[in-house]
Amino acid sequence: MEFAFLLSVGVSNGCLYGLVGLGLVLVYNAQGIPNFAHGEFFMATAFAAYVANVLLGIPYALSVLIAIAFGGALGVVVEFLAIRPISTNRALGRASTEVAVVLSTVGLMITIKGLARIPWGDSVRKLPGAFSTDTITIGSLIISTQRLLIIVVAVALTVCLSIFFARTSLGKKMRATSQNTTGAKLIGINTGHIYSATWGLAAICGGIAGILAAPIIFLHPDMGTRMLLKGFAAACLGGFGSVSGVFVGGLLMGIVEIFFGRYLSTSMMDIFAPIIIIVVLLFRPQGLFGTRGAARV
Amino acid sequence: MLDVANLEAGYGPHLVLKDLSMQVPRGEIIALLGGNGAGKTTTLSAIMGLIPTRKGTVTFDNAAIHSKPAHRVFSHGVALVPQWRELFSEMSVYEHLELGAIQRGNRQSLGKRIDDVLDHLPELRAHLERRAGTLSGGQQQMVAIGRAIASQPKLLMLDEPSMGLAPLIVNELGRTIKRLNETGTSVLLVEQNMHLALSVASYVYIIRNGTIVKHGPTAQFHDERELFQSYIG
Repeated sequence: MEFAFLLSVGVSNGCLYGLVGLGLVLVYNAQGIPNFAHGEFFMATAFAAYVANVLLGIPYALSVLIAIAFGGALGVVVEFLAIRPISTNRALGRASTEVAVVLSTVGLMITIKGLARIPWGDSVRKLPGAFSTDTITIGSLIISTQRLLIIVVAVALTVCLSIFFARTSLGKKMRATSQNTTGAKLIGINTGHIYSATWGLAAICGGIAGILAAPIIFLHPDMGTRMLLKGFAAACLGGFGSVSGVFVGGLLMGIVEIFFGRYLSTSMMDIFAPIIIIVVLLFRPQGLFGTRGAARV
Repeated sequence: MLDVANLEAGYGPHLVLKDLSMQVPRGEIIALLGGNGAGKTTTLSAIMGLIPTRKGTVTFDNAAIHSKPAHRVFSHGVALVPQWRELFSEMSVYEHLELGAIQRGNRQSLGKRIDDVLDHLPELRAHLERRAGTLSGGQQQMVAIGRAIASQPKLLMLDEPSMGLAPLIVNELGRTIKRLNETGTSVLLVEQNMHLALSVASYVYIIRNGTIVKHGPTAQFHDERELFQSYIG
């Protein structure tokens, strides 16, 4: 009974890590940089849902859609205003450009978090869950409806994204641009638009995770930082190459973390993510499902 | 069709092309020959919009394209098969052809255009589902050409397509270039393989130190020793 309960918590946490990791992977694959501001998409979108639903009284479903649109737009704007001017600066060498872009994401992380503190301060707020009933009973297992929603949405989103990248024209252009930017330009792909779309999609992934997590972990300007670390761990564990790999990496993270926390020490839960990152980078840098050093042809 | 006039371009502070002028008339195969570091690849990169030009003009079908990025140049009907192929290693051969075709023309004709490519490059039919990164050098070259011609370009630019290929494959490559030209595609061929260049081109430009030092109909260059001397200086 306790095992099943812990498993359900671990799986739902893992789904959140997978969603956050997915956004990180999208940007990393497109531009080769870790986006340290990704946690702020998680936070800002959750707050947008809070404003729409709690403060403005807009119905929950519509609030969620507005918040997701806000998160996606934030990702596009951030790419256009803070990333593109640096990444296209020909005066910088390739290595300098990458370092500058990474530092820019660190600056964004601090800036967005700081801006969020102006209206919200340090107090904690709560976004209501999607359902009026808090729990449902499946056999002898009592599970939170919000956690069940997290699992369903995360699985559905991962499947949709896999189909999107495999079947749609935009998805294929995104894959092409991430694998070879020059090659993409040569067949008429506007790589600037693709980067914008990628940042928008990544922010949406992080934002959906934020909206789903908010009723459980509460709203706070710092809520994205902790989740960013978990998302990085999920992406490292699954491998930065595949959508489903990151999702599985997140699941493993969530499940192992909750059992370590329960049976060894709760403090293990906070240090588990950095340990995963270090161990994976040391012994299997391509992650569980990634391929080592894919050749550029 | 393509008119390059007094072009200057380079990388950072390093100026590579100096007052370079050349033309590619419609329906012709033009060869641009030169030694290592002469500026051949830079010329194609500047025409394609991969690097910015500093002076001069590039016009294609009477439209100025010298200040446009590569994806806009491509939309005018100019395609480049780059020296290093620049394929998408994890994507299938079919996806390469599809992406090449999808950016120009309508979706309805997508299947037909891919079929047309496979008629030109029949050896690709057996590898449509394979990832580009798993193919041999010759097969990758065919994918790079297929991806470019799937867009049905008016001008196809090839940057040393014979590099690293076996002689038999180079001969087949020459036949493919001629077949493409016969269907109305103009070709600008950059080569170090003089046999290939002279067997397909109607007009030859020699580039040295970033500028054209000699040009004329291919017949003028049949003495390959003279040709070689002229372009290595």
